[in-house]
Amino acid sequence: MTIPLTLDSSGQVFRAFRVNEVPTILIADADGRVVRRIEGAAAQDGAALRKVLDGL
Amino acid sequence: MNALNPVKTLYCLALFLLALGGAAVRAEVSGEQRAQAAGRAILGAPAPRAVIKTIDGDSIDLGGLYGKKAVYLKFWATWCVPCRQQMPHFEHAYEAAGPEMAVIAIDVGFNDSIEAIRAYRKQLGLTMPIVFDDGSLGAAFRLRCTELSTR
Repeated sequence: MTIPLTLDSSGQVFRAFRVNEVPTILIADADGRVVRRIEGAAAQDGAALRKVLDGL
Repeated sequence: MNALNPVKTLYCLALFLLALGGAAVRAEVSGEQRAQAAGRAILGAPAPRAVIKTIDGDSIDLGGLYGKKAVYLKFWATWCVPCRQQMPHFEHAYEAAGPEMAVIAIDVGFNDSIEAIRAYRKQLGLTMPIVFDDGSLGAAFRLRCTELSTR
């Protein structure tokens, strides 16, 4: 695997993004705005994710 | 995911809990250390005050209970195997608790749902007050949870 991996040992990042499900995918646009939140089983839908990213 | 354009991937912040065997074993060790550190930080400190709402819509003022009753909070989830194993005992603890103790089940609100809780409650015949935490109570008590327990 080549993706950067981090451990949120304090929980700070989880709280900041109000993550209460794994997996959760958050997508920020070029302006740094969170434009999409995909949680749970929906996060496995690669085609849907592709569509969101293509729309940015 | 493999087909994602690397430039667009830069915009993508993904928070995944990885199910890698080796990582899980290491996480268990450091998880215990984290739990001990969190426990040390909160033991002896005043308990967090909060007004919490049960899944049936009743409000419970924790701050109003402290000093009047012992308060037994159990943080759990329907997917948590040890919690499920302990649940009959917890229900018994609730039923046996006299007026001197408040027993409250706090679902951690992580990878869980109120619908799942209602189904589980019905299945086991649970009668204690159950709260679905939005994460704020867990944070106040410095709890961290993951769904490793299902593995």
